[in-house]
Amino acid sequence: MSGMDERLNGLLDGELSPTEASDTARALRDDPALAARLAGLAEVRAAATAIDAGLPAPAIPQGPDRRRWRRPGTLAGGVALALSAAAAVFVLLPAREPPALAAHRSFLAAAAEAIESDVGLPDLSYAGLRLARVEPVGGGIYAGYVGPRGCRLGLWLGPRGNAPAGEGGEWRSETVAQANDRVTWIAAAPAMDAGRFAALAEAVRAGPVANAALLAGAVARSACLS
Amino acid sequence: MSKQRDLLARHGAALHRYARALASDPDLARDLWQEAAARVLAARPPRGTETEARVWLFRILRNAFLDAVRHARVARGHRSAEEAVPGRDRSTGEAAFARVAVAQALARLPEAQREVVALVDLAGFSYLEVAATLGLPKGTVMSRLSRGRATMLAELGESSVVPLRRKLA
Repeated sequence: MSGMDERLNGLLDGELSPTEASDTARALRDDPALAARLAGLAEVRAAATAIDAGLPAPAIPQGPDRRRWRRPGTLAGGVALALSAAAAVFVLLPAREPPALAAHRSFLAAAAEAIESDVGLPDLSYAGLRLARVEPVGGGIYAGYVGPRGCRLGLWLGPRGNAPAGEGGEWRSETVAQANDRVTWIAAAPAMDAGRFAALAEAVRAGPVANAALLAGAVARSACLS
Repeated sequence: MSKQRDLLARHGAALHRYARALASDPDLARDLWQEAAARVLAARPPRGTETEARVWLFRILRNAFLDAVRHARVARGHRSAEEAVPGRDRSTGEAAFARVAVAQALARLPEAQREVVALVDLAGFSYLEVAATLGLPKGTVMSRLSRGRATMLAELGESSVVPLRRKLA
């Protein structure tokens, strides 16, 4: 029943695709026991949704937030500060980076352990890479993979307009066009071998059909050297 | 109003409900909420979409909860019995009792299932948002939610709710 329960819950939560929803509705019409199960789960969902409904939030703590500018003591001081800040903006501060790039940077910097493979994300296990992070960013999904020796690869699947532009400089990256004006952005850890990255990128470009053979080829390459 | 305060104002109530589901104790839930709010105000404001900001907010509260668990400030038990006194919330006894029964069924779930049910049903998260908040694959979220709701259905169907009135008598 657990697989069907997941389907029924998906229907209640509006998480099924139109095809899945239609199939489930058909199954419900033909099976009164299944319909009764759906009714029971719907009751639980409604009851759980009502827990603490209307409960107000506690008061937000008073006190300074993180960013506070000091008021300069004199007008001259204020002008000088403003000019310095403006100069810093133009000279020192980098442009705001795309969310996918920030997610990849964060993934490379954080500890990562393999998690269960997720449906819908590329399976790179043939290349020894296991899924370690799934995060919705920039209107798409960022998936971080980790290898047995700590080597990392990030994929971002989302709309073309939100993809990082050009090469990152810090790591190898590539953007692969997909259907419906969407793209897959691939980025490696800085230490990843160039041949291995190229083989992995080729596998992502080729799609699920060619994945196994191409990924097996990527294994033959040396992994991260760090 | 800063971006963090704006976020707290918009999602504070849902965050509070999530804290109560995690902590199973109203006072600790308030403490957790305050701790999370302080961390939110001290943090760099999140960039990106509203969904990402909400995930960020709930992650902060969850981390505060895990810290509290590590420091043994949070006992993982059921809702306090005093909450079940029907007259306390000025509604009918039956309705209040039924509400507490559901809350108790949620509180009795294993933590892994409880937090998924709380995020979906109390905070209104999508499966993908839950996956991002908890760092889990979507498939795991679906199976935990499914097991959690099935257990609650079985418990409530069998009327195995703790007889609070008798305990309080």
